Amino acid sequence: MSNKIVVFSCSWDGWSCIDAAANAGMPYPASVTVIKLPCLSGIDAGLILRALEYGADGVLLLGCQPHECRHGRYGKNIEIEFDKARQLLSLLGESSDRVRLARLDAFDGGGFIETVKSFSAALEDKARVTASTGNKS
Amino acid sequence: MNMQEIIRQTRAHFCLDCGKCTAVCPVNRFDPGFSPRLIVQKALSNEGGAYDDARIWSCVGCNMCTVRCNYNVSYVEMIRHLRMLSRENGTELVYSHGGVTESVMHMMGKDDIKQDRSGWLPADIQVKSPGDTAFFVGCAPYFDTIFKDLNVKLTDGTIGAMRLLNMAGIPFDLLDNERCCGHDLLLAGDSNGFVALGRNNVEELGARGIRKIITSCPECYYTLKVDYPRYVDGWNVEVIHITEVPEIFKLKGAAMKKIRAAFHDSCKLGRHFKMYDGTRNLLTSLAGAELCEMENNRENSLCCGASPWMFCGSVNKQIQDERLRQADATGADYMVTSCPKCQIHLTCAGMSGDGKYAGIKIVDLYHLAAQSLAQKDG
Repeated sequence: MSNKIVVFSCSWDGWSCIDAAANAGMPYPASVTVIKLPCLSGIDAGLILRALEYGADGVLLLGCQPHECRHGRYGKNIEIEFDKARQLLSLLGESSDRVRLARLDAFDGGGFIETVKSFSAALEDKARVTASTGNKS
Repeated sequence: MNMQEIIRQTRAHFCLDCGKCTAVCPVNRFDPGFSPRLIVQKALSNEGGAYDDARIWSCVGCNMCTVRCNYNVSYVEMIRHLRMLSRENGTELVYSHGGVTESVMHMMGKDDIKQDRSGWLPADIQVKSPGDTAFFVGCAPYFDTIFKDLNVKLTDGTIGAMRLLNMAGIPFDLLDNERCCGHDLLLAGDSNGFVALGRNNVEELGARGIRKIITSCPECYYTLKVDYPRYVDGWNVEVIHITEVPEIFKLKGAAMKKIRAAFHDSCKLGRHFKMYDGTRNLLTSLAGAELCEMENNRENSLCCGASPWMFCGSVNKQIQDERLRQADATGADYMVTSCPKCQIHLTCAGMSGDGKYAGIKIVDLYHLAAQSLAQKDG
C-alpha cells in the first residue's frame, strides 16, 4: 500500500481509535501520517488542500460522532469545510473522493484500520482508472 | 533582484523623505507604525534588510502613496520586490482563510490539471469557438465556493459582463483550462507560483490561437496587461477591459425604477490605470442608476482593505468599516463595485463587527447593468 494519506484527527474519539489500534497491535500502513487537532472543527478547506498540494494522495478527516463533540461544536464546521474542499477539488478537475470524512465511536481501533484500508483501496482504484482513461474526476 | 536594482527600478532614490505617502496611506491611518516613507528610507539606508521588516506585509497595495508622490516613487512595486526577497530568505506567511486561495492557485499552476471551467455557465451565454478573442473569467467560480458563507455570488458579475458582450455583438471564446492570473501570488512575493500560472496561460492561449483578451476583473486586467509582459515569457496578447469596448455603451438600459448607487472604485482600475469614467458611465447610462459619490472617490477612493489574502486583521477591518460608513452616509440603495475581491471584502466587513452596516447591499456593476438590459428585453 503506497498511497500517501494524511489523517486529520480530533484529539478525543478520533485519536482514541488510532490509539486503540496501536495498543491492540493492529498495523496500518507507514504511508499514513496522522496529525492531531484539538477538535476537528478547527479544520479548514485550506488545510485539506495544502496537504494535497504538498503531495498527499488523500486526506481523511477523523472525528467524533457529532453528539459526542467535547467542544460543543457538533461538527457543523467540519461538514462545511469538507464540502468546500470537495467542491474546490471538482473545480480543479481532481477527484472529490480524495477527501473523506469518518466519524467513529471511541476506541474503535478496528473501525479506524478498516476506514484507512478502504480509503487507500478506493484511491488506488481511482489512480488505476485515471492512468487508463486520463480522466481524473 | 538585489537592493540596488530594486531602488533603481522603483525610483526610490528620488524619495525626499517628505512623508506625503504616509499621510495618505489608509493603513497608516489605523496603524501609525506602518509608514511607506520609513520602509523606503530603510531600503535606501546602507543597513539593508528592509525585507526583514514584518510591516512590509501590512501594505494593501492601493497605490495611494505613489499617486501622491511628487517624484512618482513606486512604493507598491518596492513592497512587492521586498516581499520576493523576504520569501527567498525563507519567510513563512500567515494566510487568511486557512491559505485556501494560495493552495488553489498553486494547484492550478500544475501542468497536468484539467479544470471544470464551464459547470457554472448559463446556457444562454453565446460563446464563439474557435475565435481569436477570449473572455478571461478569473477566479469567480472558485470564490463562489470559498466564500459561500458570505452569501456572495461572484459569477453573477462575470455572467453579467458576458451578457453585455453578447448583447453588444462582441464575439468571444472561453478557455477550457484558464488558470488564475496570479495577481495575488505575485503581490505576496511568490514569483515561482506566479510564473507557473503565467506559463500555463500562455500555452493555453497559444494552443487556441487567442490574440486578444477581454476581462471585467480589474486585477486580472492589471496583471495580464502590466505584469505578464515583464514576467511571463512568450506573452503576446492584447488585453482590454470591458469598459474599453465602445459597443457596450451603445446599449440602452430599461427605464427602471431609479436607484441610487454609491460607486466604489477598485484600486487597480482606479489609481493604477486612472479609469474612472467607463465604470461610472456604465452605471448611469446602462444600469440607469443615480450616481452618489462617496466622501473619498475616484483618485482618493478608499481601498476595500484587502491585501492578497494575507494578514487580514483589525486594521483591514477598520479600513473596510470606514468605507462602509462612507457608503451609508450617501443614503444610496446599493454600493456598486466592479471588482470581485472588493465585493467579498466589503460584504465580509458588513457581516462582521457590530452589524451596523449589515443592511448595505453590495452588488456587482456588470450584474446590475445586465439585469437592467434584460428587463428591457423582457
